[in-house]
Amino acid sequence: MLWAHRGSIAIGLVTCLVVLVAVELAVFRSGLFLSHVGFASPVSPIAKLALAERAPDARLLFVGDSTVLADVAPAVVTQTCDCGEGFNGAFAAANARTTLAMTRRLLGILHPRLVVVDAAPWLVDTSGQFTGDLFAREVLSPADLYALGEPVDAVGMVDKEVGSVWTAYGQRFLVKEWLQSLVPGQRYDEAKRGLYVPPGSATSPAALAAAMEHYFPDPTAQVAPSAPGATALGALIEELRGRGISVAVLLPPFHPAVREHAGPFLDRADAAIQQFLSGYGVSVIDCRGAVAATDFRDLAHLTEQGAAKHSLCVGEQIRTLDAASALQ
Amino acid sequence: MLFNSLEYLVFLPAAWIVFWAVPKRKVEALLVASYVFYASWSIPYAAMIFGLVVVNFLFGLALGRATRSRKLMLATFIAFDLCVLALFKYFDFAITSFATGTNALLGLQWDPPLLKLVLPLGISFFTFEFIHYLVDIYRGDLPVHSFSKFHVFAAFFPTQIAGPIKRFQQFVPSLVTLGRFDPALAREGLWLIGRGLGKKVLLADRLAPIATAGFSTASGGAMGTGEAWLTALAFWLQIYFDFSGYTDIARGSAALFGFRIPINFDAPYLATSLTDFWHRWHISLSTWLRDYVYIPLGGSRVPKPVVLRNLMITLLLGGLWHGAAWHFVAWGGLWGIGLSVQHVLRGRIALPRTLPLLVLGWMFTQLFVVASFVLFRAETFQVAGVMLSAMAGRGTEIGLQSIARMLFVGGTAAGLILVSLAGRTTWRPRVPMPTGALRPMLYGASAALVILIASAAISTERQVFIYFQF
Repeated sequence: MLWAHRGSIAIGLVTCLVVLVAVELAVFRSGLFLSHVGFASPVSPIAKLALAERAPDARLLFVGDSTVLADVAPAVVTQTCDCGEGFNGAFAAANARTTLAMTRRLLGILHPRLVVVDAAPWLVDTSGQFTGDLFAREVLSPADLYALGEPVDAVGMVDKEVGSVWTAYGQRFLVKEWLQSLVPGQRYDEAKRGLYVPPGSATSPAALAAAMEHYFPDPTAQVAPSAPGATALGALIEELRGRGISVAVLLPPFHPAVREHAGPFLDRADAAIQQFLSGYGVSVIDCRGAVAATDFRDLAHLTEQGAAKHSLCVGEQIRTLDAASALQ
Repeated sequence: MLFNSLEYLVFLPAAWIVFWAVPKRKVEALLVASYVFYASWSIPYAAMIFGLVVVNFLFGLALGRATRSRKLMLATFIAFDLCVLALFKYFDFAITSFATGTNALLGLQWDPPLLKLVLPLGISFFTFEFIHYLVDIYRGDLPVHSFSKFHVFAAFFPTQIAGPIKRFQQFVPSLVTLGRFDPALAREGLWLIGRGLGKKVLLADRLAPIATAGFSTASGGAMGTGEAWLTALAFWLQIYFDFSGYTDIARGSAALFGFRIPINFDAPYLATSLTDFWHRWHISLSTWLRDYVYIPLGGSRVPKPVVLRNLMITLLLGGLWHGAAWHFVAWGGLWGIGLSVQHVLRGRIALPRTLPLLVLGWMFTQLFVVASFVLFRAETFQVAGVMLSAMAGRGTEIGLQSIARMLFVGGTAAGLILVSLAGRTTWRPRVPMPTGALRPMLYGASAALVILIASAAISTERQVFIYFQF
């Protein structure tokens, strides 16, 4: 029965293939999609990389995890320090190793004179394990993930290969982001240059307690300046300096409730971070005192207003460091 | 394997080619495909499904042959299936709830040991299919079939993860004609898959961030009235497009193999009464609950207080079926109360079916549905309370932060209602179909569009179907 319709089936298949190849070449491979597509949120590495393509003038680059993503507004920093345009290249759930990989990718697009990287307390947590989540798989190759102790991800490898051949599939997350941005009121304002504060608020006692369990599950955890995360950050600092780019480290603010729950851990982590940083002679930006409890959206992230206050302070500190020529 | 995964995009055509290429042994081909489908997620759980299929087939065989103690046998067999379900799905919930209650009452600090078992995908669905099979054999409504037929019924991959909950009697005709290719059914299957993917990618996933953001705001303890309504309406639409989209893909996949799976939704947002809603929403579950819980309890042919009790039990169980959490139970309880009130009123007030009254009934019903879904979606009663209180006008502000989003949600809702209404009429849009070589070219271009939508639908682990968790 199917054989009787072979002519029509062949015409249909060829048409299907022609349409797919035409879309692949004209929309995806030509760069048209990446250069024009809107996003709903820049939380993933792939979205950040696409946004970075549109910010080639960035001289300040902020990298790290969601504490940077939600707390640093490059536009406010630029206004305050008068030190060039900025770009927030941080993404959600980043760790030191994925930040290193992401920074390398961003440096293929941008040419900053200063990179600001975050140093959260879990950087020096010796029990911290690398987990190859979705975003890690976006910035690291399957081979890199395997080298970091992740099991062989056969589906992931096939996925990457298919994505490299068929770009419409490889960039499907961006396609979803684009579709989302078509919803009225959902398009990301690119003037924010990478800053993203998730909507909503989670500062009720229950929400803070749940977040505490997530971020600080073990307040008795051991910390050391030689923890794997710190080692990866050290490698990033060395690499950036090797490229002639200045580096500063940002200490992210946390909701005051963290101190009640994990105060001793924070103190130990602070001491370990300071010890680690002194070994590299790197400048520190510390604006933790610039924000109050009401500036927090949740345990670890600021509201838009909070981010503006924090960024004002970050800009001032960069200006001071610049004036003192303290940035290396 | 999820429907919106790269594996399924490869698996479905491969399974289809193998199924139609083998001249005989189509049941075996379907079984292999079904186990590959499930084992791609978990081999041990695929083995467990096989074990449950064997055990339930033997149960059916025993019930069919027994002449004495059949009721006791049936109860034992059902208890076995429910115990398996309870072990995986409800044990931790039960013991945690018990510990919370005991600790609160006695001032203890008991931290109960939990099993923390991974929930086998689709267990709630196939357990209900097993129970239907056993009960129908017991009632004499269903003869015992061959193991292979029962096996393919239970393991059938298109409906394995999230239904629809099948009935053996409806499945058998397709088994009888197995291997007879029906081009019209295959075309319908492709259309359903395309429609399902479109519902998921273009609508459900677009509404999800609005709903998620709103519930996140509510978890902060306060929200505006406008935002609460926007959030509730967004979820009301999201869950419909998500679940009915999934069902479309399941039915479409089944159709490609020559199986007709009954519909699960019949324009539920046109329902003009609470009872009417359950005749249209998740039909395979509501009819299962009717046939295997409500009617065995006595149904409606018993004194009114007993009917109300039956309604409450049925709906509470329906709520609990959705998940091991108290908000699902409360959701079921709310529906039990609503249906009970309607049952009482219907006995006392006879309203004419005029258009204004139907519109009023529609408005009340959909308000109830929207509010009940708040309880369904909110992870805690506190969040649900904040949302419902704000919807009742006690929000922090009346206005909306984004008129544009409200226009999107409102426009989508209006579109859905209009399309649903159009579906009730005999009117169909006349689309001029090209002839000659243009027709296969049109099909080819449409297929390319579906492939592009499918590629965008492939999970990036952010947007799985809501009903997969049940």
